[in-house]
Amino acid sequence: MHSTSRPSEVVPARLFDGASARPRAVRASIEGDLLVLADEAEEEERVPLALITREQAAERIVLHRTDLPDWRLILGTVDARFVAALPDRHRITRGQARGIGFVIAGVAAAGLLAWSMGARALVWAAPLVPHRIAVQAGAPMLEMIAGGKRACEDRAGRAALDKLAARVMPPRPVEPVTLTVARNEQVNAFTLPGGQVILLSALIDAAETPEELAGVLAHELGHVEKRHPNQALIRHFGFDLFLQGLGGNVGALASTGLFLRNSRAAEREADATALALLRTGRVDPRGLAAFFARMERRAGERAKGDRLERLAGLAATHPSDASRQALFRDASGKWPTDPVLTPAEWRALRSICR
Amino acid sequence: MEQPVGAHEAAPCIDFRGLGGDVFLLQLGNLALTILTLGIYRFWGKTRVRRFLWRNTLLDGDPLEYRGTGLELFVGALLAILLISVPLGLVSVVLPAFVGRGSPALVITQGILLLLIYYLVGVGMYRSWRYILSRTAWRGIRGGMTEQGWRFGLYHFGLLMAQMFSLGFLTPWVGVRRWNRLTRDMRIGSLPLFADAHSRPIYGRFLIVWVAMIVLLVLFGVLLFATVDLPTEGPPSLTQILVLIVSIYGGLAVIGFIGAMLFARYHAAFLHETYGATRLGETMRLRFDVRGREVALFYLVNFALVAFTMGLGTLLLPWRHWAFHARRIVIDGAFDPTTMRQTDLVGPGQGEGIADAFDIAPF
Repeated sequence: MHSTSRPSEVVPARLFDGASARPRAVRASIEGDLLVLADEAEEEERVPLALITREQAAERIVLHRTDLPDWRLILGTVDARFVAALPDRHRITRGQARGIGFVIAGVAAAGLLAWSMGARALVWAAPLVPHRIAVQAGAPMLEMIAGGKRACEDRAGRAALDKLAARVMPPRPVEPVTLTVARNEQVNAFTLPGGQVILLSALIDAAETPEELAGVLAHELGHVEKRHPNQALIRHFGFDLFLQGLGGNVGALASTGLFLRNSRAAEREADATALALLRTGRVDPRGLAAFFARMERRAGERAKGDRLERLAGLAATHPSDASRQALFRDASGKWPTDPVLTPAEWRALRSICR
Repeated sequence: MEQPVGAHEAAPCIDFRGLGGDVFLLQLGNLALTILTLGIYRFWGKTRVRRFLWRNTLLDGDPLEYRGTGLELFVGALLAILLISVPLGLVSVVLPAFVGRGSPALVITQGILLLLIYYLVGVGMYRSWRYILSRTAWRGIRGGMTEQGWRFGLYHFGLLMAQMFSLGFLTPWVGVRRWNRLTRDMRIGSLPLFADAHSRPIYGRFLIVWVAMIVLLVLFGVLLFATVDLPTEGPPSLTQILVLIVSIYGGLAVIGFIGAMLFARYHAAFLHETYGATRLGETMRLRFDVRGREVALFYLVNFALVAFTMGLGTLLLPWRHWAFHARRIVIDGAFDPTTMRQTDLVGPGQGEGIADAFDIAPF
């Protein structure tokens, strides 16, 4: 290929042979397809150009040998024609650039696919989690909230709770449901993986009618029916941990981003299922609507007393609360209803933690 | 400086020329590609930064050469995930489902796994050095570690336990031991490294930190307990909660600041002692002169870079760490390049996965 008739310019260079750190001063030139290195003793070494690659490192040009990976020749001042005869191993070729582009585009496309299809994949995969393992995954949380003396087990209260739960329980639940009441000052309820529903005592205190409590429970059972906790489980172990392990903080962020839209949609799904459960159980849907409305009022009143809470309230009041209330208020009268509990049963349920 | 017979040159001087601005631009590109690839580009980005740092570090005018690749780091990370995450998942989620929570078999298995993870911290540290040294060359001569790291893991496990059970009191002793043991296995070409650092000269400065932290934390706890003002009946208001949170974090921040400033003095002494006790071959010795004030400034600038740039300054931290060391390490003594021959150690096939998983890689 390189059939230059006359010998090229002679370039001063330093040679490291890869066997020791001792530098050797040589003069380098190109003769045909050979790189010729001559040292002070006029001893010559000839290396086929086919074995030589070139690297531009800062202001220096460094030659490598493909057969001797530790061999280095560092060139002094070099003219362009000399350099042009040597292949550049560190410049990215057009083919390589195309390959890198494809890989990046591929990963980005996979991310986009996960972002758009991730929710559906979770719906598909959630039933595959064995009940036993899902229960175990929720166990530490259950222990934390309802462990030891925090669980409320008054017998009459429990009987009333079971009666109330039977009214909103789906005829054939997707997995066995366990219901726990725990002493806690927060007005809240949770659904853990494996059909484990927890009602907090303050929630029972805050409910004014059995219908309100039945409504909240129906919402939580909606999460069980739609297997949302199992989806979260797969998300955590399948995506979060993997991407975090591989991609560090950015990976964790990416995983969060992939499923950010999920939680809003899940609440809406649980509400829709709750509505169906209330209908089959002949429970008045106005209970849940009244409960939502009162919670919102209460948050507003608390805020009046405390300037900071007023600020927090401003941030928390988002429009979807109103639409949730409307969903259950508008359903009233659409089906015949029966009272959920007798006044005596309701009293018993309200004192389940005493 | 004594000049042993047969030495031909003075020991090489270290010159670091990498500019923060160049690293920042490089890292901005890395960040963009890392986000685009859901984090996977991280390994290639890390490699590019290392290549930059190495290339701009000259020993007697000849640059260091970093020969690692992103793919090696990627494969190493995949292996580490398999090695660490899979057993962890099995033992913490799957196994309890079959033997029941609190069963002796489970407790024993989980205990063993925990010990195994402590063991792997040392293994990861050693293998990280092994990978980095084997991918580092100067004048064509590569570095290396003499072993694979499994034995060091055991040794380091003992050190960790000593540090833990002494409530940190043994920290200087552990640090010096770790340094000596790691250094003795390092090679640069055929040149062995050796260190015999002692903890006695640096213990005083450490004890000041140790005692001060205990006293300050106890005082803070007492003060908080005595002054905290929460209603006995009913839930506290948001303002009260916020005041409490601010005073807790504020107090801890002040204690953390004092602790960091005192620790900087110890850190300077530690660097001086350990580098100063490190020999390179028969004729060279390292030196690291740094004042506590410089280390404190190093901490403060790092903190400011991260805190006041919404985290973007984190991109500069690898460069800051490298520059802090590279600009201060001095090699004393005489160097005969003909005695520095190529190493016959074989490097690992993949990158420092375990160290990456635990975030303990040196750079």
